[in-house]
Amino acid sequence: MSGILRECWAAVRARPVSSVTTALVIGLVCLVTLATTGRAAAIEQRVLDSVDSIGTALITVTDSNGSAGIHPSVVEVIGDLDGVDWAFALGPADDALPPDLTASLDGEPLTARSLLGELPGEVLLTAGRSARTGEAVAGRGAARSLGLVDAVGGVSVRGQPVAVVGTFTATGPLDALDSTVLIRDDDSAPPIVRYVYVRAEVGYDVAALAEVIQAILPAEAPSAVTVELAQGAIDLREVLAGSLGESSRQLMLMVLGIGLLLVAITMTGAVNARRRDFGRQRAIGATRSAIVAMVLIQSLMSGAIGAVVGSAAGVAVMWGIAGAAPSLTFTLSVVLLSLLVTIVGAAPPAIAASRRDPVSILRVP
Amino acid sequence: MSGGGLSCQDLTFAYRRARTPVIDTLSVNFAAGAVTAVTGPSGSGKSTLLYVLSLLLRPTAGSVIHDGLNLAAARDDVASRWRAREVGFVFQDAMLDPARTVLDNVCEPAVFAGVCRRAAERRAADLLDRFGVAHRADHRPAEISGGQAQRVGLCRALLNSPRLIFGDEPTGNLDSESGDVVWGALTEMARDGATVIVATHDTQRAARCDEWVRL
Ligand SMILES: Nc1ncnc2c1ncn2[C@@H]1O[C@H](COP(=O)(O)OP(=O)(O)OP(=O)(O)O)[C@@H](O)[C@H]1O
Ligand SMILES: [Mg+2]
Repeated sequence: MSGILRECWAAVRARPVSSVTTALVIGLVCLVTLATTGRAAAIEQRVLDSVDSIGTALITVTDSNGSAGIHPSVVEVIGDLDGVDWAFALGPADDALPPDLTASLDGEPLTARSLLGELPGEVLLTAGRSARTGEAVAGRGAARSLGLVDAVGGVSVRGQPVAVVGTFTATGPLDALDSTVLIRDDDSAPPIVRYVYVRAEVGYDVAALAEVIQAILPAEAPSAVTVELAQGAIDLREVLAGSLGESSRQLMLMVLGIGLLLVAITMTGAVNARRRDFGRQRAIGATRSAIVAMVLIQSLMSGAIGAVVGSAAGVAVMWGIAGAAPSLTFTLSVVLLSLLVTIVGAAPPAIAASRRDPVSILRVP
Repeated sequence: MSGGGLSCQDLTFAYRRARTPVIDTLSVNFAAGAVTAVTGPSGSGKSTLLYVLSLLLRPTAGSVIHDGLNLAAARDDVASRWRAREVGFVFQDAMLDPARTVLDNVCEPAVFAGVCRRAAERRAADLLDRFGVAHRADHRPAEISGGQAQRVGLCRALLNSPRLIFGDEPTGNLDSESGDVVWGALTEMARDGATVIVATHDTQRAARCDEWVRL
């Protein structure tokens, strides 16, 4: 066997043109597969990420008429649950007025709410600092309406002046917070909780988490709250994941199919150019299976070189386009598939070579 | 005379699209230790006979017996392995692989006989030396003369020390000096016990061989 391998490697090197052609075809198959399918997979991930940012992972607990009596410890209790990324709570709405009562608000009246827990990363502080006890931060829209200078100023809530020390921008499912003023209440008045926002960790079963929250919610009348999921977004995600996966699979099959055809054509050409060699080898004692094995091993050797070089190039291209390399598993499966394509493409010419009548070849001078 | 020799009994062979057989009920004993010349006009079936005796073509009828075994209907892989182990073939045109060196060409039969490369190279170097082409071992077939190429083909045929040697006009393209070298080598192989069968147009040579079959 090692004799055959050695002979095959020598034959691969002795015929650089057909070896390089095979390597090139397989290399291109890997490159194109990685650059298209891999890219499609990366884009797919990005689309899904953006769907997720709409709020597939967000759970909202609402006490709409204020009768549930949600306990302020809710933020800590939920925050400690498995699968929870973050949680914070908001109190009931109050009117927020400019401190100078003579100044009139343009546009919608502003809402102020008390804040429990830490604001998550989706709420980005763009100026100033975060609020300490008795202070407030304003959403970008609210800050504009209040005419805050350098994000700092004051606001009047329930007749009390409150210092605004920062401005934030809220994105994604929390963008409604942009027009509110969030107050960190002092401890004298225990805050009332009307809304709890919870985000599930990536990949966690959101529906199951929502059920757990409903069950353990620290409230006087837990049945009075509603626990909501962004069901529409969740459904959309499932549809997208299915159809995107389908389309990249079809693309990959197409590339592999074309690769198969090209390998078959290349190998048929190479085998035809070498019919004299196979005739001679049959005459000096090669079995049919030895001829098939040699053709397959030789194309696999060239193909393997192409697969390694092509995949490396494909990974590099993907890095350039999508800024992310495909996973090792994905890359290895592309390499293995391309080698399978090499074998399947080379098999018909290999079998044809082994079945050709050696005498008719020996007769041709 | 069956001491390792080759014989055929009522051997008949017809090409598939031909009406009359090229070889018709031929029975010959090719003795071990002897050179048998096969002569006949062009188209009389000399090459065909060698191909049938080496099982590259299968007899339409009759038997090919080696070592007391009738190989006429042997399976293709059995016949191939038998050729690899027992048969050396010298073609009129040397039939070298132009992409490989002279040494690689001579070593080629070792692959199919399962002989290790190192042993094959040693034997090949000896043979190339014996036929005066050792200094060409690393050259390609395109870089050597026709007479040298034919000697390289002879080295390849002898690599596995076969007990059967077929030559199809092995000296047809050679000058008399190179022809003498090839005939000398074939005779020597016969003296060492091989069964040597040579198709030739050269009746003077044929007359000097141990046996002469006219087709
Ligand atoms: N594939 C084939 N189909 C039909 N007839 C064939 C085929 N090959 C050879 N023949 C015929 O078989 C006969 C014997 O051919 P063969 O090559 O054995 O002759 P030969 O004695 O070796 O001739 P030469 O001295 O010219 O080499 C010829 O008449 C030839 O035309
Ligand atoms: Mg002939």
